Amino acid sequence: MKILTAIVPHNQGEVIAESARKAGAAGATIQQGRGTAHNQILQMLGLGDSEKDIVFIVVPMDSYPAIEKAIVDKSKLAKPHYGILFSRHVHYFLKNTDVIFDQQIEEADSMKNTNTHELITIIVNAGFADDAMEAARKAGASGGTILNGRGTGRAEDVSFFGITIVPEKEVLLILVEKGKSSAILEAVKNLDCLVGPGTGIAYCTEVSDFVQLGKETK
Amino acid sequence: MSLIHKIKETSLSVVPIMLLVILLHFTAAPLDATTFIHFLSGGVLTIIGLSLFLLGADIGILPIGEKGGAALTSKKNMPLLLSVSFAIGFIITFAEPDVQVLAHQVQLINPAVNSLILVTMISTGVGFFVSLGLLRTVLNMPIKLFYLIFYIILFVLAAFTSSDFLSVAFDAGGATTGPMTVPFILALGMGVAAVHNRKGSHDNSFGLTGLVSIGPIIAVIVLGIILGNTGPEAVYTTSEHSLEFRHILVDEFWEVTKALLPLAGLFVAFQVFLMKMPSKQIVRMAFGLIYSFIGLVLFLTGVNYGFIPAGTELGAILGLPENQGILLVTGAIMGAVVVCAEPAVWVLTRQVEHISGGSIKRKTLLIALACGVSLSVLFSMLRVTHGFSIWYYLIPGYSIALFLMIFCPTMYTAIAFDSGGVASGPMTSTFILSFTLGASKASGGNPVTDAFGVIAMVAMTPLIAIQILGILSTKRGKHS
Repeated sequence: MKILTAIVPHNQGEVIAESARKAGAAGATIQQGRGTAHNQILQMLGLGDSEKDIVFIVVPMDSYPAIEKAIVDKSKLAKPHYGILFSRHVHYFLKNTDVIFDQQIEEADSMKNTNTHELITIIVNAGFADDAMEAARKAGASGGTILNGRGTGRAEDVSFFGITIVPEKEVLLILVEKGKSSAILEAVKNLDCLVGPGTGIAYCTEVSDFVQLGKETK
Repeated sequence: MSLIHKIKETSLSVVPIMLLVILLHFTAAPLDATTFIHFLSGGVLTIIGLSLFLLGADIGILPIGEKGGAALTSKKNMPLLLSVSFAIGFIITFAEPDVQVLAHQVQLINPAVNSLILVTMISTGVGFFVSLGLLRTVLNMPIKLFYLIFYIILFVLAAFTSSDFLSVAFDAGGATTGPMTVPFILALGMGVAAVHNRKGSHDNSFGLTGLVSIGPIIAVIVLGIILGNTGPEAVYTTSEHSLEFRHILVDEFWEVTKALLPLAGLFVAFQVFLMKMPSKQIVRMAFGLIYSFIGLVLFLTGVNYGFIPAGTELGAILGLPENQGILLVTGAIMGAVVVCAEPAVWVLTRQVEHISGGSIKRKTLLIALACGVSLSVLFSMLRVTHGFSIWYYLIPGYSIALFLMIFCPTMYTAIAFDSGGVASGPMTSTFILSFTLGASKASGGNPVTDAFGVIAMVAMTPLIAIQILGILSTKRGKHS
């Protein structure tokens, strides 16, 4: 099994999910995020942000190519730089008490040529994702997507009238070509928003089947 | 780029209003050529202004409110939270230009009223309800109970007040929820709810605006009971604005400045004492405030310059007895399209979509709101032509709204009461109000009670429409 992830403009998540369903996918989950500006000045002026939908679809290995093709074909009708698509390997899948184990790591390894990209995830306190993005961009990242979240708080956090006050977080996703990730992680390593205890974390995972969605540009 | 995207989106909501007027211009209600041209240029200004305002709200007012609310709660200091939120509500209301205009109207009803006392009264009402609302959020008390109790108090008190004061009181509810205030209060409530780690915390994200708009109504009613009605018969005065473009622009410039300054001050205070945001965020938020400022000035100028004269003239033509059928149809369509162009409605529907992670779509909410407001304007037009009391609408309407709370999911109830406050924004209080006034004069009715009626109606029907939407959507959810 694989989990297919597509990052597309706001309100297009349903379009992607629908074309995936027609190609045999069971269902999709859509999350909202914010795309960062490509240009630093625009970012500063607040003019460059764009709203994004992030679509997650768990897909069996054998129908993956068809579903991926359906989404790519659909996106070709839209403008260039419509979005991106990538997948990650799933080795345990639970649905309606059915469990599917899929330990095809060897096979995944043999298809190494599709693992051209890596996904860097940086989780920081709310308000700092743009700072992290700027540092990452200087180190070679091209763009990122920011999701809002909240930390679960630690047990020792004092409660306030029976409720736990939890820190607001931002999750920054940056997809980069293999080999660029270490420079980026090095660049964000010493940022204030990742240095202090409880402030932030960063990690990097491999992804495969990276595709640029949208009308083809020569 | 996001600005271009915004312009596209706002055009979609303003262009239908323009099409409606253009259609009427060439068929049933030919307007004066100057009015028509002013209307068209006003429409263009409105689109640009609304786009800029929303862009600014996204990166300025909303984050400031949210971060402020979150930071305030994180201090874990209840007296601090309550006193600061009271101060916030008081300050932003005190500065709201519409409240000043309202104070002037009250003086016409009762010259004994000191306008400073009245403004202080309304601001205290808002401040009290902001801190009460946040207290409710923190303690996680049921919001439906709050609505029920305060609306019952409101209607009981209303029975003891003279009808002139009542009309002003309901206007006060609309006046305080201006386009700067609403996004900020909305965001403040969400910020406080966001840092709470509790199951069902989305239920708490909304509802503050709905609660806050009760405050000024009760405040004015209480004042009315204390002072009584000693003044001469009320005369509705649309404050005689100059129709010259330059004057309107300068007027709006100062009005918006007055409304924005306290927000900017709060921003600085939040930053210094509470949040300590990275400098890049501060610059962004400051730009956001500037965009909102320019946007709102352009929007209000466009509306006052183009929409008020056109609305009045349209109303005057369609209010004639032979045009009654067209008046009703036009009113219904106008209600539906105008609500989609209200700045605060944009902000609210977008926030709902964000908080619900996209599961409550902006479009769905807009459709429900459009239906509700469409009916409210239609019913108001019936009142214009037949002249019966507004209570035939308000009492059953609010009873239905309160009754529906039993079946409606909490989050939808909260959104419904919020949207009641936001639906009666600057678009309604200019375009629809002037249309109603024009129609009322032409058909020989009493403009004082009609003018009051339409705003109160626009604020009421969303409570019903959105709650019905909530009930329907959960039913469907259970079936699948």
